[in-house]
Amino acid sequence: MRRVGFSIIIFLLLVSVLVSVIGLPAGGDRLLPPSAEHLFGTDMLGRDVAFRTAAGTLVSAVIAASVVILSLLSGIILAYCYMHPLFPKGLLLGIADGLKSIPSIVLALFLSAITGPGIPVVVFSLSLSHISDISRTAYSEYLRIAEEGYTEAAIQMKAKRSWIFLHHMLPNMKQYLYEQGVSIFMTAIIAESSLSFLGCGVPQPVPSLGLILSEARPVMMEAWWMILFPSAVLFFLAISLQMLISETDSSAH
Amino acid sequence: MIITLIAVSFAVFVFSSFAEGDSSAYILSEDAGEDEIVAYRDSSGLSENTARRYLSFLSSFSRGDWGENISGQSIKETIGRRFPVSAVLASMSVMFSLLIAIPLSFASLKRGSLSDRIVTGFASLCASFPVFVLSLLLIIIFSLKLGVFPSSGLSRGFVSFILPSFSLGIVYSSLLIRMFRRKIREALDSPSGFYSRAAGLGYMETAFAVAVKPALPLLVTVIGESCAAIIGGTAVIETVFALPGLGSLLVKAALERDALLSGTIVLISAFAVGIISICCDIV
Repeated sequence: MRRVGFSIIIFLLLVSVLVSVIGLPAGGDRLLPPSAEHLFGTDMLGRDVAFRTAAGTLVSAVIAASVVILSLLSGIILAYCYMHPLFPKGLLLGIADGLKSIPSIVLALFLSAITGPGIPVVVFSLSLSHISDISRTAYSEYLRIAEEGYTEAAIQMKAKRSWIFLHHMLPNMKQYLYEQGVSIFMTAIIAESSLSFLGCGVPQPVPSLGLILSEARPVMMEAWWMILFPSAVLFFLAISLQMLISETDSSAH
Repeated sequence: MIITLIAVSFAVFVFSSFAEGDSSAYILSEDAGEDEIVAYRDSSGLSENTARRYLSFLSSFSRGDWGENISGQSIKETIGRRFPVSAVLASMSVMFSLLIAIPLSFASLKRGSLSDRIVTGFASLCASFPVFVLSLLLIIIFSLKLGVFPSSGLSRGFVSFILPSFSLGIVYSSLLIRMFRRKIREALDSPSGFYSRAAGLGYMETAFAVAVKPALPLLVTVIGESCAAIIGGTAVIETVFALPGLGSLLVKAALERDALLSGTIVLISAFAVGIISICCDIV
């Protein structure tokens, strides 16, 4: 399962990179059905849907990857902070609990009402809602590792905090970080495409899977290819990411 | 919950006053002199310090004076008109998802069985569909091809809610299935589950005795924990189906960059989530 998921993702990303590098023939008539020249057909402005889908996949992947990096980094930093006895854990966990009551899409909509839509807002708001989640799970992860005999031994031996962190915390968090990373990547891709679909995500000229689908909505009966292909890509991305986690899930039990 | 409300209200206050800059620049004419600006600021309380303005914002908010949106309509009235739509949509979605999730998670009790695999597949399939893609598919099938349900608006009353809440319910049910199953299996793996098995009870009997009965109150907790997801989903669904609810209002506010309106909605939804989760905790 894991291998299948991994290969689907690599395949999708490679094809997207290839297509965006080659740059398919732009121009053409409006709303052409799929043909040899335009594999996925063309949209209302005569743009090639295959090219836009590929470029959109890349944009979504880059946004989701930055959300993953931001959230995981803050998870690692938080785990280090938890080791410090003076760190205000209670306050932080309280704020995180509070943030949980605002869904990430609502948070993103609120922030884009204030600053206007844009890629930084999407990345920031999605990361923020994941960080609130991660601050809690990283805490339980920290507790789990701190109770281990070897960690206690290291503390007894007056090992430096940074040494314990590098040699005990980080290696033990690998599995956790991997699972979190994959699931954040998946929710970020879905959330980003939903936001772009609503018109509050990636701004107009930049292609994004959600944006293509929202452009397809008015013409969805005539131009089925504009709905089918981008949503298929979205679907395969999400399901292959799920395969990556489900494997580790069952092996953990 | 109180921390959330304070944090959100503060963010709303700070950002909406940032976004406006200083309303004196909008209200007064361009050639207003220094004196006029100072006079306006004094009269509308802008010259007071931030803490006091925040407190007066809080007090007017809690008294129900929520101000006006960009086009000058009363925010309170707009929200009051749209709130019932979202409430009906959200509760029907929860109902649909329970209808889907409960039978399916019981069907998949036996680990590794065929039905377990099917349900697992179904759950991950549902989780892979963004809500809007699923609802577009359902619109194509049920409204455009079959014409059973309306594709947008509220023109047919209750029937108009079925398709939107069904699509939200399907996506949400995958979340519920996972949570139920994890809890039920934890109970089965616990010592009491082990001993009931050892005492000769069958798998299903054990599951019902040890896991399902204790799990029923858990249903409420699970709903409370995940109601935020539903509220996030309504924003998307209401826009797709053009339902006049709070979610589509939030999207509209974001597109029109109406910071005060969107902040008010966020504050209300955070409040609603808080109330729901407190109620679920008590139950």
